[in-house]
Amino acid sequence: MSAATNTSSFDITETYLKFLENDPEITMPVAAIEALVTMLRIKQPSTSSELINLLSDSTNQLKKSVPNAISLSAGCDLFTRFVLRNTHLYSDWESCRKHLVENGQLFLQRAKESREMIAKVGYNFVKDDDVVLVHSYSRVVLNLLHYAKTKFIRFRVFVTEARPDVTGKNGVKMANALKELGIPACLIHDSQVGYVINKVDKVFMGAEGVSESGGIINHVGSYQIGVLAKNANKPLYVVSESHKFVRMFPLAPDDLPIASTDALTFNTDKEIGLSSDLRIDFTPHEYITALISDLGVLTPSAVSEELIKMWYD
Amino acid sequence: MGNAIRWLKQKISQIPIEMSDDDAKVQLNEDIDLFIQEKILYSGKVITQFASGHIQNNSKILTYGHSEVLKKLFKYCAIEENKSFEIYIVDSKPLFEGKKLAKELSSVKNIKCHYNLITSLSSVLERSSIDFCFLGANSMLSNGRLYSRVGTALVAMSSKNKNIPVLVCCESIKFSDKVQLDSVTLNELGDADDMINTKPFNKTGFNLQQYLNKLEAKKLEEQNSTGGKKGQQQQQQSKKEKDDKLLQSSQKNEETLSNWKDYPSLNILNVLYDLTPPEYIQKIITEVGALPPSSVPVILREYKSIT
Repeated sequence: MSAATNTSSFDITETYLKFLENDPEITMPVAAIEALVTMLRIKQPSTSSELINLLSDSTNQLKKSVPNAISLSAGCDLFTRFVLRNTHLYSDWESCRKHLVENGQLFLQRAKESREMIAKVGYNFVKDDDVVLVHSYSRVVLNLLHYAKTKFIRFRVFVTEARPDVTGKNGVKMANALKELGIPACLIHDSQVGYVINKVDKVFMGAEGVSESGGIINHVGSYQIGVLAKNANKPLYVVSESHKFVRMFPLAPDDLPIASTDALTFNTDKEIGLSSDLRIDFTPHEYITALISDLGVLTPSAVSEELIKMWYD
Repeated sequence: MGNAIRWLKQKISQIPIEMSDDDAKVQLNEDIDLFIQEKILYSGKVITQFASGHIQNNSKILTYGHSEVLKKLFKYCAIEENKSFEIYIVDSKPLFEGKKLAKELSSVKNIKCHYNLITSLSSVLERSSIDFCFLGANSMLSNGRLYSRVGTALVAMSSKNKNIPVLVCCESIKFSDKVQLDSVTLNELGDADDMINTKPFNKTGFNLQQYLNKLEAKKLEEQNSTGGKKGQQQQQQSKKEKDDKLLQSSQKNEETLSNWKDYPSLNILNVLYDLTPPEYIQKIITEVGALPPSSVPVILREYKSIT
């Protein structure tokens, strides 16, 4: 964390990306919050209104610079909410700022531990001799399955390839990671899910963001798997930390506020190949059986209750 | 409405005993004004902000009856945000509330209005690719059900059937902690005579009226020109007789069932409200944000301390 002492050269996006690089275990919202806390420590705003302005400027900058900003905005909004609630608790500005920075650290600590908590809560969902289906690469799901393995539960995993993907964090990486942990895995194409769904006992999925209705925003292909699972009467469990709950309420996959791409246009030009730009989609809450989070196991309707409590004025 | 009365009673009970009656009245008046501002006027504005994101250029929107909040929303989107869109207004007997909405919205530029009765709802949904269905509320019950004008449930169900998202705009003051499982348990009855004696737009049909007008015009011409041919006159007279008979019979139709009270086994039912189950509603937009219908009791719980 080689933070620049010269405040003018402090770049929030750079700091954020550095955090992501340095710690492979970190999630995007947590990295965002770390960057914001660092910014607070360095820039040292002298009044609360300056603080709030600084925060909103930085969050806007961050959201613009990163292409897939949903879980990022969840983290930023959470931190902003936390700051706004606590600024008026202290009369002395210095102690207020110290308190914010300390609590920021505490929050980060809790967020890092949340994956462990989720594993402890969720491993019971994996029973002996289960066949589990997972979609794309998710560290939380990986952690949960690893914990289940250490509790001597024997199970097998189907992993979807999860195309299209350019970040390298797709099904191939997940399958390799599982095999390294000694969990028998089978890598399948996304189109083979329908064939395989009847052999599967349950589906586990991570999430980039959990919307207010309890639906999830995740790697493209999640919606398809959700519909197939519901049709085959297989439970779908979403595994996600609570800081990914975002104040969004999409009604359909095309209602997501991502930068609209030129994908999905029709033309007669043979040069244009696959529409690989569409990388996330939205799964409505009726396809999700339960949400395993560090707050416990929630039904999709409990998500909005948690969000309301968090944002309660 | 129960919420408002309860709030007022609470305010009254909170007035200190030493305060004089006049002072108390002044303070109460101020409180009531503030209440109206906050809970009703401001809430309407905030709901408009939240909901306007759904209405894009060239959207097609379905709505039922007349709702103040929705009217504000549509006007805001058309005038302030300069979006042009189409609205399908569905209406029903005997109140014909949709007429009011249609009248107000048709004078707004950028809005194209279509007006239908609920009897033609399935045809409307079949032919036009509607994007959203916006509904107003009388109240939201604790089990996520929408208590609104009779006919709302039908519109919501048909929309859900066609995969059209149903959005309800409702201020949080309308949230009630009642639980009701069906529309019959608690409802209001309107005047039964309204169902019988509603006059349609014309006593005679549109084509018939035009024909009659033409006849009148021809008659005037004949009278002005010198000497009409007798044969023509006779033809016209026999036609006129037929028309008079038609008029008489349509008048008689109006009088059918106006003596319904004389028939002991006939009951006319005019219910005013119905209940829409939560599975037909996608999203409820209130001034505290958008929520799924299952979260209504959460809002009541969290915000009860404020009211």
